[in-house]
Amino acid sequence: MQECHGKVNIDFSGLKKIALVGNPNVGKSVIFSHLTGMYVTVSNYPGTTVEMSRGAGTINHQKFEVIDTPGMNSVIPSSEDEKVARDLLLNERPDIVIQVADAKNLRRTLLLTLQLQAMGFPLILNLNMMDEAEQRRIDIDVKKLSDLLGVVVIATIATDGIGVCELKAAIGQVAKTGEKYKPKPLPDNAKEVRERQRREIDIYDTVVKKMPRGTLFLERLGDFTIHPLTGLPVLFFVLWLLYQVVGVWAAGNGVGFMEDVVFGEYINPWAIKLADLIIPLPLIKEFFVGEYGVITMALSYAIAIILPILSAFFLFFSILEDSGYLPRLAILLNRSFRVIGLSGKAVIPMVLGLGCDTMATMTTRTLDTQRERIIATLLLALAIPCSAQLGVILGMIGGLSAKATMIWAGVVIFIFFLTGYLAARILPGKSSDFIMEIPPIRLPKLKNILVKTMARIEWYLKEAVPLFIIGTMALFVFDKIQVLELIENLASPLVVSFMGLPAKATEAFLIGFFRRDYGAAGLYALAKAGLLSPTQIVVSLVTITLFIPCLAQLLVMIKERGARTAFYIVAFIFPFAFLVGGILNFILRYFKVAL
Amino acid sequence: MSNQEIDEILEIIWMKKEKGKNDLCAIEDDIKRECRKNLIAEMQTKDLLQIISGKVELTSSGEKEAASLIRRHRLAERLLLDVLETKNDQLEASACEFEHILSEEVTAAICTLLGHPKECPHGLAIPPGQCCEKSNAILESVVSTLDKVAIGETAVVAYILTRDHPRLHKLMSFGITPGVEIKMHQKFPSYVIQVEETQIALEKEVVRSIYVRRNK
Repeated sequence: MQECHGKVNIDFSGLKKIALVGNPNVGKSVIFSHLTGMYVTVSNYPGTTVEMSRGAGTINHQKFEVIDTPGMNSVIPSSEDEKVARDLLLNERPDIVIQVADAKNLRRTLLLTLQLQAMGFPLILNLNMMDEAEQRRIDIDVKKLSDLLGVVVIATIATDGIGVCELKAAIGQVAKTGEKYKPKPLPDNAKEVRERQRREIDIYDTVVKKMPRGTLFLERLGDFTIHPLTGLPVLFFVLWLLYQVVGVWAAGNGVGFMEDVVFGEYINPWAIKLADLIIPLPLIKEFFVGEYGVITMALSYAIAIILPILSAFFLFFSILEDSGYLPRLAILLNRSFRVIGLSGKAVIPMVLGLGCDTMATMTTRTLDTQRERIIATLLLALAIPCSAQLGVILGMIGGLSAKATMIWAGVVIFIFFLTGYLAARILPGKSSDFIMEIPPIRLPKLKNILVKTMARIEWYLKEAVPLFIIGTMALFVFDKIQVLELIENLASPLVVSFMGLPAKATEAFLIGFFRRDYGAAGLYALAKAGLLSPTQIVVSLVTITLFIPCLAQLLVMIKERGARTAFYIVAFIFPFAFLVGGILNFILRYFKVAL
Repeated sequence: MSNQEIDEILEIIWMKKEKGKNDLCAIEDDIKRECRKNLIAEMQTKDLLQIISGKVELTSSGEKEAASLIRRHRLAERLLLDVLETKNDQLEASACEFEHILSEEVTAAICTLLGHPKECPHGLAIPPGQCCEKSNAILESVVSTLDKVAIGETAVVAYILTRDHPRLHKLMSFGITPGVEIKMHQKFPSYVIQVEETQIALEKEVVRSIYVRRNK
């Protein structure tokens, strides 16, 4: 999961460029942070970075433009994110190319090093994760490697900052001697390829010594999470833990405290008193503290209901991301994902969607074919609730019954597979092979977890809360000019007759146009006021889960898949969500399902 | 009718059959392009082919002759492309000449040199010769597809057999190239292999295109 950090516009003109390239999941983003002091999301799975990040860094009293890139296995790209790095190299001709590498995988590293060298780039090879190589008793003769390659080689353990000084010194040295060059196309005929392979084997055999070793504890743990017998129980345990932490603890205690105590006893009464005192006009007073007030509705939904749930979810999710567990799900789920025209590789964007569908839609770039990218985008928009929404839903339904939770989850999962299956039938093109790298299980670093969680909370406050306020203002205006009543009357056949919900639920769907989680928060408030029966809660939650994506996601969908595809997806989702809600309502009532 | 012409017709029939389009009129169309109309009849009398309910079938002697021609042609293609690195535009013409001049012994030598390839550069099957069968008998126990390797066992990649270019490219970029050691880690629900210190998850179809030499 990535975040948009309101892109800073720095003037880079005239600065020398440093490009960080390398295989996926080797620590390019950590090195980037060291060189620029800027934080970009760091996780333990290939494909965390799908776009370039640029930052300025001062190294040896000289200012540089530093560019972080998505990982690439070869200069011949096989997916959109790999293409980003290749294009950067060819089009911008960076003054220094630093290949960040995983020291314990020197073979793959050298494959890329020799390609970059053959193309004539001024190269520094940064052997990162030296600690992991050491743990696995792999000894690398760095000096000899540097001699054989004719390239500066610097060893680092970037997460602990070890070797960063030396890396900076090397950059200073190379920058002094660096001159303009023109990259050559990669010599790719059979002879050259064989020559490179031969050199790679020669160098590898000369510099690497492997000592016999036992299996590390973390390796055993990693095996445990993918073993056919233990893999599924581990997955269920993780899901149960997520439910306990987010759905029960945060949604119960956290929200209870924020809503009833902080907002209920302090902020709202104070705000109302304050408004009574200083605002004479009733209309403006209502604007802030009325039924659709900025403080009493927008802020209390955003801060009291969603924020506690979201913080817990982000924290939990960051730990999962950094542990390296998420890509392991691909091994368990590849077969099921084949049914919907995707491969296990698509598990990552789907799981990231549970964090934020907007960012997950960007991650669909890592999929190999256009067909897979479209199916994944559709399913993210339709059936994957984002963290904020999921949290509110878990909080609401968890209080109802386990049966209600199962029905909600069952319907959403069924719709996920049904829609995917049909889409795979309709869309032309073919699916790609499932070949995916599985990162090692790592102990998450506390600092990175906290920094990442804070960055995400900050992003939520900056991005989502203003939308909540705009949504509330729209409701306020609609209410005052009596359009709200009109809309509720118009929607009545659909919302009241077909879906069996109270007319006021229309409001939740209206604000759901701005963000689905906001809509869910509206339902939460209705349920809390005792206006929804258990059946109505399940029906309305299924509908809001499937409901159209939030504005930010819609914009990313247009950017990534084109306006036409995005339009078709939304045109399908909008009626479909209500249709499923209506059918579920009918079934639950017809069979008199007690919840 | 010269031998060369008969050879061309035999090849045409073989390749048509490969595509399952060996009905008489399709083949006659192609032969007309070769400017001879009565060839079919001539070859029937020479016991090289027969026509069974509108389909052209090679007799056993015709089949043998055609297989050997196709084998020489496709082996020549491999030799020209892989070893001599001939340009694509010259490949076909040169291979056509080769097929008529290669003796049985030279063909077997080339086949052995190339490691008894199973497919021509266009992805079509090369009919196996005696040398291939012999080498198979020896290799069978040593070389197998990766899925046969037991969990925990290590094997060395011999070659990768696929027509799917993206697949080959991807395997190579993960460092799965001939000569590299692979350890089988897990087989279900997906295959997990270890190359160097990287674990790679893949599915059966891909695993079956990787041929490995097992250390016994």
